[in-house]
Amino acid sequence: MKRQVFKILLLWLIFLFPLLVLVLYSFSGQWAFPSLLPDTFNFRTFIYFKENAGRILTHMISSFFYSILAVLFSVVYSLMPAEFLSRNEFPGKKFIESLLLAPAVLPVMTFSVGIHMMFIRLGLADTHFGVALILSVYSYPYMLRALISGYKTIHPDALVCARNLGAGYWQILWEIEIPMLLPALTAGSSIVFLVAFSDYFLVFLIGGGSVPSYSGYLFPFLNSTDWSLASGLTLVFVIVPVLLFLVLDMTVIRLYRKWV
Amino acid sequence: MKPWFKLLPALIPFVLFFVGGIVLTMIQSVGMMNPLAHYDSMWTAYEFVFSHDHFKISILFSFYVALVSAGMSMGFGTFLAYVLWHIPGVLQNKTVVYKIPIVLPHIAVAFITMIFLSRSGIVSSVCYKLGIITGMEAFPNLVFSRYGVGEIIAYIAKETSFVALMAMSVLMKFDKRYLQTARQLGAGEVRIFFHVVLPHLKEILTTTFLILFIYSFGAFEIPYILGSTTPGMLSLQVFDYYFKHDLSQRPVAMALLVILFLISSLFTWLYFLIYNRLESKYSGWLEKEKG
Repeated sequence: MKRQVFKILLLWLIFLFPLLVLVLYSFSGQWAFPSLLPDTFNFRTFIYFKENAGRILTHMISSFFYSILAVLFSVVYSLMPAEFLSRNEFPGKKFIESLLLAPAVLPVMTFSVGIHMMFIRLGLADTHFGVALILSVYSYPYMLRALISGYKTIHPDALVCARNLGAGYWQILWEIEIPMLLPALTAGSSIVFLVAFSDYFLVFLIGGGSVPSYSGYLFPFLNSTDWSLASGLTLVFVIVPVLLFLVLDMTVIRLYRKWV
Repeated sequence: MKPWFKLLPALIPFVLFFVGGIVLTMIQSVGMMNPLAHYDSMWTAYEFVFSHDHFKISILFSFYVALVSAGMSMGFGTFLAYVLWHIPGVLQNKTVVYKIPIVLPHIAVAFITMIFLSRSGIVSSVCYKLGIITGMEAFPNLVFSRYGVGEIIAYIAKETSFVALMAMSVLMKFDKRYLQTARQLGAGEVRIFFHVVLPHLKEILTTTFLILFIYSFGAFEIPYILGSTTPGMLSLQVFDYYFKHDLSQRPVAMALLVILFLISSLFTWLYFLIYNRLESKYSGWLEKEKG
């Protein structure tokens, strides 16, 4: 048992160490080669955050906005096809399913750079709507895959049973399907949100600097020599997905385990 | 009659934006839709790509970075999964920390890699303190390296946990009594791993490898932060020709994208071939009930 505890401690050390270094860098004034710890400490990063709170918040909210919009698009794209694909067998089903899942596998550059010009002509470039649209095109397969397995957990007999008891289409949808799909919806939404929120390239390409994004705000700092500021901003960037993941892991997934 | 119309909500965006985007890339690669590209033939951009060695080198370099990073992630990830799997159930939920790299954005991973690997970074400082190197200049140029060391290490840092997660999903269903039987029959730990456990992981590891390979082959963010431009990865060349050259050079970027698309499609096809077989092997009760 002691060996197992030691293994877990080592695991925590390895995986939290990089984040710890980011924290150290955020508080460091000067940290020059070859010091193993910062030479001086200060709160410059905090002062920067305080002075630029408005701009940072605008970029963060904008990122949240287009990411949530991308999640909504992916639900709209996936709900009906997932139901169809999970309840019907037909020749070529695997092929259609694979085709619909392909956008998440192929490199995003292959379709997004080509469509950029069309987005400009249609007035979709430089808008939140356009950014959410392009993000949803390559992230909806995660939602589709989650919902297909979600629909498979609903036994067809449960629906027959409900119909026999007199439930209509909407009642079945609202009282049986949606509650049973909730874990799959949550899982799919969090992946789509993460993918959209973390993206830099597509937001840069389609947003063109007019759509503020946190990744776009952070990027110039990563290439600068000011590692303390870059570390502080990266930590803020990283907190969002890590928190989302922890909350999910502690609530929904545990609830789901209780249900099944 | 099946309600085929139910596929439309996904088919419409798929055809319009995904297929449409690829078709537009192809159209632009032959010089159409471009007011400044006056080419003698449709294939001028392709001829340009194939007659310049640095494009070929870029394609090979992308191939090399993707292959090495995906391959090494497989090794480390499988090892990590194997270690995690041996941790008893009561402590299992304390291991969740290994999933952190999966949720970290690529640009954050690239920056962390830079802090660790650059000449004035952490690894360099530790090497100096240990007396391995005598000064900053003695530390090899790992970030922006010609051999893609920075990109490869960043991808490994990001992908190892993903491989472990995938392998764990199969290992969790694996009956541990196989291990006991093998042990009773006199197999050693190494032999058990290679002859009992690994065969069960073959398919999930192959599909995971393909996913990671295709991703690293065509992704932009990590090479953009950590990569050198000579030889740059294919995605950097595309970026360069699309944004930094004038409009008349755009067909070159598009031709490169078509090549990127064709190579990735081949691997994507292979991925779904194996994935679908895996899917029917581990399918839910619905398919099993139907037959």
